[in-house]
Amino acid sequence: MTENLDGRAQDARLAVRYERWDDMSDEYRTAAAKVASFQALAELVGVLPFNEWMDRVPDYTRKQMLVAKIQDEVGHGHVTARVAEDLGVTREEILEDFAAGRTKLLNIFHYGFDSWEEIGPAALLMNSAALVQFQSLDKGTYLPYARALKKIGKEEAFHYNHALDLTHQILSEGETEQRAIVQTAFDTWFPRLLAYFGPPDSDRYQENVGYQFGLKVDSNDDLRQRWIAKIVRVFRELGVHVSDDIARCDEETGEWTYCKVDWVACKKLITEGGPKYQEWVDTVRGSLARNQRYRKAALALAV
Amino acid sequence: MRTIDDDPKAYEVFVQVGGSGKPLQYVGSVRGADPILAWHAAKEVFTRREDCTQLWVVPRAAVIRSDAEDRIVLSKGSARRYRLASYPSTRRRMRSRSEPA
Repeated sequence: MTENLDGRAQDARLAVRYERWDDMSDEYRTAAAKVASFQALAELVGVLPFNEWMDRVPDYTRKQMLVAKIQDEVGHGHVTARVAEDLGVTREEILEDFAAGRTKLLNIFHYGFDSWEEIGPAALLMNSAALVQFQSLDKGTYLPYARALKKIGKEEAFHYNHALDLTHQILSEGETEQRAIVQTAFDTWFPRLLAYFGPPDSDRYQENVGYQFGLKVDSNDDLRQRWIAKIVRVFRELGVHVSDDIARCDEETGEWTYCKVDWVACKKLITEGGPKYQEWVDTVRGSLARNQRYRKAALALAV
Repeated sequence: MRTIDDDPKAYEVFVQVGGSGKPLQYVGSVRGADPILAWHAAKEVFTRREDCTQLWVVPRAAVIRSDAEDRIVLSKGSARRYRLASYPSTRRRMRSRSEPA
């Protein structure tokens, strides 16, 4: 399907939708399982950079909110893993494949946070990008996945507001040095999130299997534009400086131009592992090994 | 119509939110080694935000659900116009319109 994407072509691509029990081709089933299991892993590993900070949160209410967020993310891992399991990929496989280095992580989950002040702006960029992504994917053709995303979206809205409030607190009550960390965090994480949406659309992006099946609803570039249009304004209102080199809106076309993403470096990061990659692999591996006897005991006791 | 399915550990989850008068709604599924563990898994995953007044888990194999071929029969409801409240009202209006002045 290389002809241009007018409204009708798009409708046709998204018109046939599936429940778990509907007949579907093996290709469709595999593609849907891949999308769901990929997200399940992202949710479960994506929680680890926040998990590290649980014992270091500087005030009690923030700690409660962070714990809630961490629990939510693990819950998101559960619901997306359930979607994958019903399509034939078990949750054990999802974790074991990662522990054995067989699956790749999204670029943003290869990093950790160096300071508490970095978490607010970084999480705000991540949550807003995730919301844009999910609000597109939840219009996709596999209905159990679409429903899971709608549930996830509700909780992401809380994460988004928590990150916004945390950033606001540091910018309004923090020391000069703390405010500077927020600015640096924005400048560091913004390009990472640009890359999170995936490579720029090629002339053949519509040939992508997930796209043809209507599992992927919008193109990478469309989602990236949508996200920038939302989030740049939010950061500017918070008082973060967004330079023209980072993102600039063409007032005539409404299109955003943004800083160049180093795709070679990004690919290298994903294939070779970023600063925290090995630590997360070890954490998951250790957790699987440590809990094995309890899993066995629980299963043996179950009626 | 048929029963399904092959995963004996799968439980379908239903919640009642928005008050005790509301109907229960299907929200997804969990896996559990037994029904009580499944209920607790469902509590953790599906009752995180709104106040939930009922939480049910049902073994997937116990659900008798409709199939694609049932769809035509099931959607007949609105096709029988004479059963809808608007139908007799429309007839009444048409009748009074056609009455001689």
